Amino acid sequence: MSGHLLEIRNLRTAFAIAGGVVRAVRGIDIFADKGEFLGVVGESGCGKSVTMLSVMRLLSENASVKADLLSFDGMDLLRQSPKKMRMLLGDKIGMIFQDPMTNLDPLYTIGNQIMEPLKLHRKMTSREARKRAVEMLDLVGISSPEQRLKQYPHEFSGGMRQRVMIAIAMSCNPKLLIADEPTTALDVTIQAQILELMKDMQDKFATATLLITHDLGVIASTCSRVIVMYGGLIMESGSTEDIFYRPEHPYTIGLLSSISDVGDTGRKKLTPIPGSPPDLMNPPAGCPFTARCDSAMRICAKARPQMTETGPGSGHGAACWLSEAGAATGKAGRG
Amino acid sequence: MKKNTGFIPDETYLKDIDAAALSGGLFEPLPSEEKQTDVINRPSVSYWENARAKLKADPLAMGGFMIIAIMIALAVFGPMMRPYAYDEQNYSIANQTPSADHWFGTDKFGRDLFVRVAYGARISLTVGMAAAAINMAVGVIYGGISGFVGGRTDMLMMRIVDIIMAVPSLLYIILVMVFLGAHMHSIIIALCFTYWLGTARIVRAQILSIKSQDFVLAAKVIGETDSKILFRHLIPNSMGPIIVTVTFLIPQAIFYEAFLSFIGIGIAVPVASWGTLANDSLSNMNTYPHLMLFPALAISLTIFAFNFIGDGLRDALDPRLKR
Amino acid sequence: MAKYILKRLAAAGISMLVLVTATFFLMHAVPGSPFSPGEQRNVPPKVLENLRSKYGLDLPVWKQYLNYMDNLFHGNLGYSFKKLNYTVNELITSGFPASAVVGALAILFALAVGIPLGITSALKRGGWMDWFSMILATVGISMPIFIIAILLMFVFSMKLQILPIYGYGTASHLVIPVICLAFSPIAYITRLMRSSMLEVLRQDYIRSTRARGVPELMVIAKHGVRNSILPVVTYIGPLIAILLTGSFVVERLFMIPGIGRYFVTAVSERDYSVILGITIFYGAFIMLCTLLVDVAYAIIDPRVKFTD
Repeated sequence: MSGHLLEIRNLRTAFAIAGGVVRAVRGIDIFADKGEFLGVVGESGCGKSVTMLSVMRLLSENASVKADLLSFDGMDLLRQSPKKMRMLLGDKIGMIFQDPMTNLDPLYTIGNQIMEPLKLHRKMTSREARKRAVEMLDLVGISSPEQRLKQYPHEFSGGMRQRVMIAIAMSCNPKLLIADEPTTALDVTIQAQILELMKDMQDKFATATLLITHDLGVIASTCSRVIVMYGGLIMESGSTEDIFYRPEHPYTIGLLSSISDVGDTGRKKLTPIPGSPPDLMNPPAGCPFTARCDSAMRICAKARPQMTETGPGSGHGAACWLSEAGAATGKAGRG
Repeated sequence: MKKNTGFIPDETYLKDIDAAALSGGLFEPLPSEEKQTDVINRPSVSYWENARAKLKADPLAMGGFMIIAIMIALAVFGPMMRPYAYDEQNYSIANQTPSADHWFGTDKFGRDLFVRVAYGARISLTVGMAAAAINMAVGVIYGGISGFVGGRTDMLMMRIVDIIMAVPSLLYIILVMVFLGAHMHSIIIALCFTYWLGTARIVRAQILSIKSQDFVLAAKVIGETDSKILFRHLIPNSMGPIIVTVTFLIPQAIFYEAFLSFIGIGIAVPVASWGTLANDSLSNMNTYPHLMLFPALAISLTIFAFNFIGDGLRDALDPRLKR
Repeated sequence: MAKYILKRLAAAGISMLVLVTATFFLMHAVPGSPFSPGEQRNVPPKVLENLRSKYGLDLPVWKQYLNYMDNLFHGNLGYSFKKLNYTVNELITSGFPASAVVGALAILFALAVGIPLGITSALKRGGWMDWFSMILATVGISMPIFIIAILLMFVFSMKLQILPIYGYGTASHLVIPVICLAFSPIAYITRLMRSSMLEVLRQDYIRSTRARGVPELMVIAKHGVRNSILPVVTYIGPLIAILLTGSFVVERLFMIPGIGRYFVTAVSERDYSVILGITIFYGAFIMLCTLLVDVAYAIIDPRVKFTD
C-alpha cells in the first residue's frame, strides 16, 4: 500500500434522488500524512463533506461510492467488512461535525457519550472510562470535569459542546481526526479557541488532522497544506503558502479576493465571484468553474483539465486549462 | 462500499473529445453567451398551484375525493332512485337479502336498506361538514384574535382553551346530547362545544409565527388597519394548516355521530343514521350479516376517504415538505 | 418538581370546577326532573314528593349546587336516581375493576405491538412490514371501534366459535374486548413511532454516534429508540381518553360490568346523578393520568425543566 496515512484515488460518489442522480464527488485524489494539518476548502455543496463521509461509509443508502484506491494506515478500506470499518471509526479515526448543538444525543449525559467509544474500542470498564473521560474533559479545557460529566448537552454552551465533541473524538487517541466545519456554527471568539485547541491536540497526540471548511481564514491560521474543491472536483492543491501567495486556478484567486483581510483594511477591494455553483445533477462536461470564470476558453466548456503540477515535485498543482501548455494566449487575459 | 449500483458515468477528459473539435480555436476565450450562468431550470410555481399539482399526483387523495363524490351523490340522489321511503315498513318483505328490488336488502321491518343507507349518508355528511365549517369559523376567529392581540388577552383566551381541553371532549358531547335530546342538530351543537379548540390553537400558533414576518411589518408601515392585516394577511397565510385541520375534523365528526347513534344516544329511530343502522343489525347479525355490512362499509369508506384527503392535503400544503 | 406538580394540580382543579359546575347546571336545566309525575307514572305522587325531598330536589338550584359541592369535597357523589338504594360511589367502585383491567391490558397490548411495529417499519422502510403496518394504521384509524368489535365478534365468536360472544370473568372473555380497544391505539402508536424514528434517524447525533464506531444495533436501541419514544409517551394521555370512548362500546357490546356500561345506561335512562358523578370521576381520572404522563416525560427527557 501507499506510504500515506490516508490516500484516496479517483473517488466518485453519487446520490440517487427522486429527480435523477446527483454527482456530488466526481473523481478526486487526496492524501494525508501522519501528523499533518490538511485543509479542504470550498463553497457549500462542492463535495468536501461528502468526500469524507464516503471514505467513512457514513452516507445514506441512496449513495453510490466508487474509488480506485482508498487506503488508511496501510489498510485497503475498499476491502474492509462493515464491522472492521466500524471498529476503525471512533478508534483510529475521530470525527467532529459542524453543529455542536445537534451532534450530541440530548437524552444522555456528556459522560455517558464520552465513555461510549472508550468502552467499545478500548474495552475499558466503567471506572477506567470515567477516569479517561475526566482526563479528556480536563484536556479540552472544561473546568470541574467531574461534575460536568453528569450534565446533559443542553446544559453546555455551543463552544463547550464543541470541546466535548473534540474530547470524544480524541478519547481513543486516533491517528486521523476529520473535522467537518468544526467552527462554522460558533462565535468568532470561540472559533479561535476551538482551532487553537485542535492544534494543541494535534501536537500532543501527533494526530493527522483533516479540516473541512468553507472559510479560508480558518485554513490560513491552522493548515500546512490546502486542497481547493469546486463542483465535486479538486481545483487546486498545494502548501498553504502556495495557495495564498501563488494561486494558479482562477477559482482559488476568486476565493481569495472575496475574503476580507483584517490587516488590509480599505486597501483591498472585495470581489465576489458572480453566479452560483453548477447543478451537480447535470454537471458541465468541462471544468465546472467555466460559467463563472473570467478567463474561460472554449475548451473549458468541452473537456475537463487534468491536475498539472506547477513544477516537478513542487507539490502544488491546479486543474486548469490555463496551466496547460497552449494556454499562452489565454494567460494574458487572466486577472 | 454500499451497493455499487454503477450509475456514475465516466467524465469527459481531453482524450475523449474527437480530434476535429480539438483543432479549431479551443483556447480562444469563451464568449459570455455560451456560458451557462445561473440557468434557472425550475419554473417558479405559486404555493397553491404547487399544492394542487401535488394533490393531483397523489392517488390516495384522488381516490378519497372520488369516494366522497360518490357518497355525496348517494346522499343527494340515493333516496330518489328507489320507490321506497326510509321509514316505510312492510313486514311481508322483512329481512330480505340483496336483490334487484332491494339493492341492499331489507331490515326486520321490511324497510329498504339502500334508501336507509342513502339517508344515513345525508346525516353523516351533513354532520361532518356542518361541524367542520362551524368549528373552522369559531376556531379561526378565536385563535386569530388570540394570536393577533397577544399579551394578556392571549393568555386569558388560551387558559380558557386549556381548561376546556383538559376534559375529554366525549364527556361534553354526551352531556350536551343528554341536554338537547337525540337529534341531528344536537350532535352538531355538541361537537361545536369542543372541536374548535384544536383549530383555535393551530390558528394562533400560525398567526404568531407569521405576525413577526416582514410583510406584516410592511403592511403596518403603509398604515393598514389591524383588522385588515388580520383578515387580509395573517389568516390567508395560515390557511394551509387550517384546511388540513378542518379536513381531519370531518371524519372525526362523522365518527362521533355514528358512535353516539350506535350506543343509543345519537340519532333516534326511525331516522336512519349509519350508527343506528349498525346498532339495529346487531340482534340478527348471525343470520343477516348484510344488514351490518352495508352501513359498516359506508362509514369506514367515508372516514377512509376523508383521512386520505387530509393526508394528501397535509403533504401538499405543508411548505416544510416542499422539495 | 413539587412546585410544578402543585401548579398542574391547581390548573386541573380549575378545569374540574368548570366541568362540575357546567355539568351540574346542564343536568338541572334538562326539562323534567327524575321524580316529576310525568317521568314515573306508576309511582304515587306522595311517594314522589318524599323522594324529591329525600334527594333535596325541592330546594332551590343554588342550594342544591352548594350541597352537591359540599358532598363532593367529602368524596360523596350522591345517590342514583334510577337504581334506588345505590350510591354513585358504589356504582363506580363496583365498575372500576373491570374497566381498569380491560383498559390497562389494552394499553399494554397497544404499546407492546405498536412500538416494535413502528420501529421495524421505520428501519425497513418500504419493506413488507412497512406496508403491513401502513395498512393496519389506515384501517385502525378509519374503522370505528364498534365496527371492529362487531367484525371480531362475528368472526371469532359466531363463525369460528373459538371465543365467547360476551361476558366477563375468564381470560378468554378478555381477548376480543382488549384487541378492540387496542386496535386504533396500535394504529396511532405505529404511525407515531415510525415517523418519529425516521425523524430521529436523520438527526446529526445519530450520524455522530455511527462515526464513533458504535454498532448499528446499539445506535438504534440506545439512541434511536429512546429519542423517538418521546412522542409516544405524550400520546398516552390522549390514549386514555380514546380508551374511554372505546370502553362505552366494548363494555356495552360484550356485557362487561364496567363504569362505561353504567354510564351509557345512565345516559339513556337519564339518571342525572349518575351521569354527573361518573363524568366527574372520568374528568378527575383522566387529568390525573395526564399529569402522571407529563411527569414521566420529564423524567425521560432531561431537557424538560419544571419551571412552567
